[in-house]
Amino acid sequence: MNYSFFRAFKYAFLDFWRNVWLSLVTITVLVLALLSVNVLISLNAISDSIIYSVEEKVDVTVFFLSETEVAQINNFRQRVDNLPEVSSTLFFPKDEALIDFREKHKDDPKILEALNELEDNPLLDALIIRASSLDDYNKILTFITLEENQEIIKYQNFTDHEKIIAGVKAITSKVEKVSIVLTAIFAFIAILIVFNAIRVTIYTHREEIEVMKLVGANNWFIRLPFLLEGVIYSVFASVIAFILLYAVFGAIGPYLSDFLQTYNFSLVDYYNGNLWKLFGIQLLATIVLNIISSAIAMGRYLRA
Amino acid sequence: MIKFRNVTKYYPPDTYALSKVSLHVLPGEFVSIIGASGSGKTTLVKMLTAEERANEGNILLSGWDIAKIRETEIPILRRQIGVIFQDFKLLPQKTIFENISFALEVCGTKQSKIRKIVPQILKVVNLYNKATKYPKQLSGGEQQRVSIARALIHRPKILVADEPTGNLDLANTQDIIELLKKINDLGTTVLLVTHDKDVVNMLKKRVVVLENGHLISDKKVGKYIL
Repeated sequence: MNYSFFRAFKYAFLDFWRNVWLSLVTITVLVLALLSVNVLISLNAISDSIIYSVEEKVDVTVFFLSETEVAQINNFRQRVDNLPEVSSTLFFPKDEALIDFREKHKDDPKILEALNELEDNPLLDALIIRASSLDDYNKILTFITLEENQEIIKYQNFTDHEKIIAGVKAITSKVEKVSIVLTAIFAFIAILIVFNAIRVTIYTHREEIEVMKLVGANNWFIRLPFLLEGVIYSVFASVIAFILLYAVFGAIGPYLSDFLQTYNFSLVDYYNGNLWKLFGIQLLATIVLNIISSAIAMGRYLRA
Repeated sequence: MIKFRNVTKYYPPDTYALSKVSLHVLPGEFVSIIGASGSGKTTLVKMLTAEERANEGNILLSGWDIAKIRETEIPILRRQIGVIFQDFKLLPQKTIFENISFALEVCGTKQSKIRKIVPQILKVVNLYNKATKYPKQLSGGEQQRVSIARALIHRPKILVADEPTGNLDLANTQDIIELLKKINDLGTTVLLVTHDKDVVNMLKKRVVVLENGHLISDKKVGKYIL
């Protein structure tokens, strides 16, 4: 049986080589399908990291009225800390805020001059509140906007972050939908191409197949080379797709890293870290699809 | 060895290729099957190799009813029956040696065994010195001998020859018939389907006549009577 399998593999490889142009076309379409899948994966990874990064930065900052006393702020902070949705709070006194402000604008003399002219610190005490998850902010905001708290709170600034996250999610969702459609189209075309390639190979070998049947070759021996040919297409396509992918990463890497650095994400690192999983799953899926396509192509044609 | 019992093969709605044919071939016999075109000769051969299935009746091969054979058993059946055809069915891109060894390769035979068996069979058909030639480099008769060698490679008990001399001249025809007789003398049952009157009359063997799907004559030492 092992000997037969080795022979079947040898015949499959010879067929692949004899119809090399057909094989190349088939592999090209498979590579395109795989590349579109990887575009989808990359987009998912990038958008997930952007969303995570933005979520990490999301917080609610409550600015207190200038006349609010420290004891009132502490009391408010304690009540906020007791909320189950809150993961942490950080008090940012106005004195520290002023020092921070001067540092940020140290190269802007006009602002510094304006500040110096003011007698009092124009900045406010602030409490930075972080939630356990993005969905918890609504409950926190509900608490903040309670009437009893309005005596000490001047304003809060959550709204901007919400818009950014919603925007990222909307764009990601649209791009994902387009990618899924493209991937499905390429995958369908790839299946048809493999189907056609196997049919052509069967036709090319019709004399050999006839003789095989005549001399009593086992059905599996007749079919196996065609199934294995589908596997060979899959292996070549997967390897080439990943080589091309890394080539593309190399080409667009500098542009991507500028953009993604802000979000502390590297696409190359993501692929390197998940290489065997990504490659393995795609290779397996391609092999399965090709085997199914080959089996349908052989269909009744190769019945004894 | 081979028993056809009331075998009928029809194609709907009303075309009968064989109609209640009963035939018993003993081991080691040489039987010529003759008949006009459309008489059912080829259908009979195809039923022996399970290429066609009988609609009614039984076909027993050493007790095995192949009329009801399962698809997975067909390769096993075909290894027990050697078949040769008018058009030789050789693979043009393989040498003579490779054409014959192909029959062993596809059944999983080890290369070492193939290297022993193929030269032996080439000697039987007197083509040992032409092992590395391609079919197009051989005469019609030699190509048919290669087909016979391939058909014999599994040492079948039955050899079916479907118009083996149809494309051959007189000299090559005689060579092939002599080879078939030699194979029969060695114990192989031979079924020869032919149109060739001279071959049948020369053989002086059993002759079965088919006409419109019916077996109309079966003589132990027959003549071409169509």
